[in-house]
Amino acid sequence: MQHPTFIENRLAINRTGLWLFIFSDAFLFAALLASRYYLLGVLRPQEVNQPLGLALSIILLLSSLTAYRGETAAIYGDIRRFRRNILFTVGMGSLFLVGVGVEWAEAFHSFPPSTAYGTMFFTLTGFHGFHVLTGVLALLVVLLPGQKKRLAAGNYWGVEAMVKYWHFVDVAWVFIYPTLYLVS
Amino acid sequence: MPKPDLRAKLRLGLIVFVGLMAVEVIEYIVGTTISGALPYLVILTVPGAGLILYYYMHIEQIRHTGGE
Repeated sequence: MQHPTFIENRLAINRTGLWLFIFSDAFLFAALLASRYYLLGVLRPQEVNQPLGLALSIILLLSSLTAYRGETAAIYGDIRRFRRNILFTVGMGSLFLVGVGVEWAEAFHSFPPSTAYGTMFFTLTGFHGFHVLTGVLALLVVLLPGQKKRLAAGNYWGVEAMVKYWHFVDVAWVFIYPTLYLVS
Repeated sequence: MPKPDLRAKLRLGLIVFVGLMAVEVIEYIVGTTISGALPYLVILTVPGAGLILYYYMHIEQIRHTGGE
């Protein structure tokens, strides 16, 4: 049998664990961003598709809004609104991945991975894109039927954790976008 | 109809989103029109990341070690 204090503090323990994971992951992104400036300074090829970068940013920010709305709805017990918003977030995340695919197809011709900038571009967008993919899969998990019972019982930790992770992916992009698309 | 508290929180999320969009557009304009924009871009990323961390990720929860 679990000690009552442990049960009371479980949410705090879960949150601390998640934040520690997020901070450790943030250091990986920070290392990659720093290596871009260390290796290339502020050099950027003219062929970088800046409007597409802006479009990708808007898609990701919009997905963060719907993720927030989904989490808030889950906390307030509005299951229909929760499902609708999380589904929209999954859709936006998938659209983002398609956009990155389009960008990669262009980039392979303009600055292939064999070039210095290409190495940084594909590493950063690939690493981030993998996070987006895992975020989409994680959000699909919270849409599984079993989650509905947990939400009805007031246990929304699963939703909170996945949505926090999704926002973290967005924060990472806030730094990646100017680093790859705008700095010159 | 959503509860009043829920409505207020949803509205807050929308306001934060508008702020984020504004930062992103300003960043784009600065990055595409000004040469040597790195210092401005660094400054602009702070409010963008800060808004998400504070309002969407509730980073202040880190201080509440006793849970809710």
